[in-house]
Amino acid sequence: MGHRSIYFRNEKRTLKVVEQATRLRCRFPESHVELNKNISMIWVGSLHPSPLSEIYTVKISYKLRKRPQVNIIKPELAPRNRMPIPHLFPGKELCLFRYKYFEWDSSMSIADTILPWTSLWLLHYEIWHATGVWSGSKAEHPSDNRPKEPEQAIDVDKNDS
Amino acid sequence: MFIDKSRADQLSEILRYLGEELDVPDDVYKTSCQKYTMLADWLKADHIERLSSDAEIYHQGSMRLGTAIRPVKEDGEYDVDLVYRRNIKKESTTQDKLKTELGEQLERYIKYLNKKGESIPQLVSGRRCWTLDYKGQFHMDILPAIPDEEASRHNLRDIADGINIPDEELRNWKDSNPKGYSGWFNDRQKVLLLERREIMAKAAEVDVEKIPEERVPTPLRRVVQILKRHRDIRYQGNPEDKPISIIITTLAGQVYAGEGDIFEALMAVTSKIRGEIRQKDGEWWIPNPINFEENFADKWKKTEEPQRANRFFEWLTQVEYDFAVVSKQTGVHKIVPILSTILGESLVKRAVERYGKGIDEKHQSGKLRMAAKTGLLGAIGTTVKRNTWYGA
Repeated sequence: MGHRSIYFRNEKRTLKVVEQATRLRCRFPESHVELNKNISMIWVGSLHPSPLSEIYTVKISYKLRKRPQVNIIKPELAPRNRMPIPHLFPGKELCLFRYKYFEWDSSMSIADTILPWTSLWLLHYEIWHATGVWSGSKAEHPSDNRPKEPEQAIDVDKNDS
Repeated sequence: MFIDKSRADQLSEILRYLGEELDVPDDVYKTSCQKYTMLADWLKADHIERLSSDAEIYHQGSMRLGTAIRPVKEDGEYDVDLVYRRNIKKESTTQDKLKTELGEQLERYIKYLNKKGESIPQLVSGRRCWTLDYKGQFHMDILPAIPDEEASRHNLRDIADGINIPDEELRNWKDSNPKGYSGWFNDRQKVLLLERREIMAKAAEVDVEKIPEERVPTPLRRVVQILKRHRDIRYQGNPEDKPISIIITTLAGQVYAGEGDIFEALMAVTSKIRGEIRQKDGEWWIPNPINFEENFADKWKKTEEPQRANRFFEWLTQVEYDFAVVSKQTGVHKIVPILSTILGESLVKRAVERYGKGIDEKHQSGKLRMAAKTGLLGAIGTTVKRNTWYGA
């Protein structure tokens, strides 16, 4: 414990892919991780955002220092009547945070950030489907109705905190 | 019926918002109380002055029980039912005279309002009561009554509150006891009513007495409101065929066993109502719980309108079916459309939007957590950090 806190105290350090994978497996023991050396991984697991919600199979693809890409494998996300699903990048990738506001960088555990956001995204998605209103706040509404290009990842090892 | 506790809890939370949308809004309640107080003070003073005898004006029906609901039409008016109990002898009046005299009094009351520069409700004559119509908000039905001196013969409680009211033809006297009935209804939920009233008083930092009993949103009240709403939506096209509120309220009150959550209570109540309806001498029998001589299902008699019984059972079957479907469906986005169909789209939409906002507030204030292994959002697990939902 003491050793760990000293280790993390002074600077942000990019978590290794294997560290991300371990933390994900630790939180979700029944999930699957496929590691590609120390460069990338794919995590597949189930999320059940609320007791009434469906159970979703979620895939997180992560390349070291890049934006973790989250997709819902099952059940397939569906538009509401003809309304497009909000907060999605092209390729049905979930928009979960902004680099602009330093909400995520590669020093942060995916299990503690991306995963809870995904679960919450799914609950907001179900509510949006029911009402047509995205109930999560701090939602950005640019004039064009589709997200722009994903932002560039912030490399914490270069941007020393 | 078995339903997973956590699912029932979540449904109860959604129904809690729905109940708030269904209930009489605060502003309408406050205005109606103001108008009621003004009328009651005036009527009472006038009665004392002219007849040197006492009178009392109080609420009856769903406003008194706290089970009043929003009209299906968004611009519809709420019903506020009042009793005007005049402390006079039966021999000194007739049904017709009682009604006529109240009409005269109300005409003078309107003149009084006019002089005071108050807004003027429209006075409309009913069969045995008078209506003051406050356009666009609510209408007050004022029913004249006298004390029932023989209440002890048939009333099971609150004998002193028994009243006689004219029947609809103004020919006979009918027994009634709105105070006794609401006393019975509140006794059916005594513990929760007391508990929740205290919680509300504490939250508002006022004395318990300052919280009107009928404004405490108990599970039993919500169940009755939801059932009445289900009925209103189902009989939108033919409202004259609706099962009457007093039957729904009585049966729900009879079978309610103190369940603390709305959905749990709803499922328990709907599963038991059928067994509570009995027959006596070949006729349906739903007794007034405080007056064993009165049968609320009087009109279901074979010689009257027996189709009413059929309609009630049809409706009940639909209720049982609809909420069973709700309890089994998976996906908030699949449950809500069912609720919309049975309880009305705009009402359900408002409730679910507020439910969503509630989740967001928990998230923003750092109180939302995600459980390991399942990803369930609630009070346990990793705190869901704040984030920005990118894009539109």
